[in-house]
Amino acid sequence: MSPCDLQSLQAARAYVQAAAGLLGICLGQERPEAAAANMVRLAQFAALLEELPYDADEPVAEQFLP
Amino acid sequence: MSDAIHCDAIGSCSALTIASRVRTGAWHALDVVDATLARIEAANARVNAYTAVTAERARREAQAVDAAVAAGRDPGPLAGVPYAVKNLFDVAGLVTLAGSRINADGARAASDATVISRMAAAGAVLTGTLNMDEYAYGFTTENSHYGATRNPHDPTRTAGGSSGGSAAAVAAGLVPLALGTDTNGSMRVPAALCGTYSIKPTYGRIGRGGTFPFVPSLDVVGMFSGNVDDLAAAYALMQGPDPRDPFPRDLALPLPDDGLGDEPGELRIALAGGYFREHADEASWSAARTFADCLGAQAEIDIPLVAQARAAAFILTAAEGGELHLDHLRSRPDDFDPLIRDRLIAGALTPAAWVQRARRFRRRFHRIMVALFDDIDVLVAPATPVAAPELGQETFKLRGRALPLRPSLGLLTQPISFVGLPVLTVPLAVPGLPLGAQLIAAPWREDRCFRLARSAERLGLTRPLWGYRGAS
Repeated sequence: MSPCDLQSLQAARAYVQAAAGLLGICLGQERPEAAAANMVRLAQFAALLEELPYDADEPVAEQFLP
Repeated sequence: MSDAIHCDAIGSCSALTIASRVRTGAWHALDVVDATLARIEAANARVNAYTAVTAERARREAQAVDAAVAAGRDPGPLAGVPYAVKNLFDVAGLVTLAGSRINADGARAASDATVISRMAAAGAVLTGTLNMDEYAYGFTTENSHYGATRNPHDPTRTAGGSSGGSAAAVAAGLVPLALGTDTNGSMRVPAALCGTYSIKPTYGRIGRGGTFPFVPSLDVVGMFSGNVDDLAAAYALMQGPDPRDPFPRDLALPLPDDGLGDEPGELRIALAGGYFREHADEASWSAARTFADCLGAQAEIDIPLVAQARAAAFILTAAEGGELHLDHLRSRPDDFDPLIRDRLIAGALTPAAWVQRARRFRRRFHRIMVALFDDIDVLVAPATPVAAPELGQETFKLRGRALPLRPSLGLLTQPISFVGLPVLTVPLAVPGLPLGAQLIAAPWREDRCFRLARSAERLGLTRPLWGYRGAS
């Protein structure tokens, strides 16, 4: 799922409803809209990271400690 | 019999002053506790900092301190010092709320959090637990279950969050020390908005055993105070391994009292510009710049990729927080604060590729920040974009742009904690509502933050808490 795909509220709503169903989260009447708005914000942040060059050598498996 | 202690007078005493008087027998710890409990009774309603007052335990701990003094035993470096903790710390016999309604149905804690045990061993006296944003996911402590914590400087305004109760309790003179936690700015934001000091140590420095987590890869334990010496004393006591937390190591690292001087001296200081200048209003930026200039800052640095660091911190926070609460999002969605529930749901559904990308970037940004400290010792940055907003406020204006308030109060703190750096927040000497500055150092070099903070305090560049209390 590309971050670009989820930066529209409509697409984010569809994604949230489908994914919540798979995870067993009941969204009820109002939650799809609110959860989708939060997903749009996350997608915007993810897009910002995708603009950076990808570094496949960067280790990410172990626990981060400064 | 010790001198009588008035509840207003105790509100303007530092922790080390109290400890000194109790240790010498000039004051009884029990009298200190009674005066503190009277002050909490009289003043807490104005700020709503406490969610539980542990009066019985406090009197029991104070009596033990008095007995030690009477018997000629060392009662500990914080003998008789009243303190309180954010309500995500385990306190034996209390339910660990973490600001939530859901946790209120849980079992009472069987034992104290590791840091509370350390405070008790030092002779400090626990007076209660403090309000916070639900599950620490917020920057305003407007808790829909336990009410909003109000800013002691203006009760129509937020105290900041998520450790808002901790900052407000210290700023209102209810206790001289309070414990909190910081994930994305949850100590630095309320410290700045309430005009207190706080230390957010290096990630992994202090044991988190017996604390309710928010984002385990970011969470740290820290403390609030009204002056640097109190902060340093409490911080020094928190060191050491924790059998309930794998990260703290028994490292022989510099503590605040090692090599502390009265002057900035040889410390190389820089001001964080660029992103930090663009995301602070004129008052917040000018206060931080003036502070740095007066301490001899040698440069204004434009750190690369700070916006990406904040973005990555936001994603990790949502994903880890969402996963942590997944079971209750399924089974008890209506028992969450609605705003927090909707953020957690989105977090739980975050695509794994985004999370992994954020983690990958964390290594890169860590290298950038660590390299920065080859040339400087302490980086100064404003702590919040603006001074304390009104309670209930949804947005704020920043350089002509309207931003959502709740997620944006951490604009200047999130990028720093993302890579686990230590930060000491100081209250700046500005008129009107408080503003704070972050003093940021390389990993494990909290001693440099303390050294600069103490210099600033002695040069009159910080806001005296006691002066505020005297005027209230």
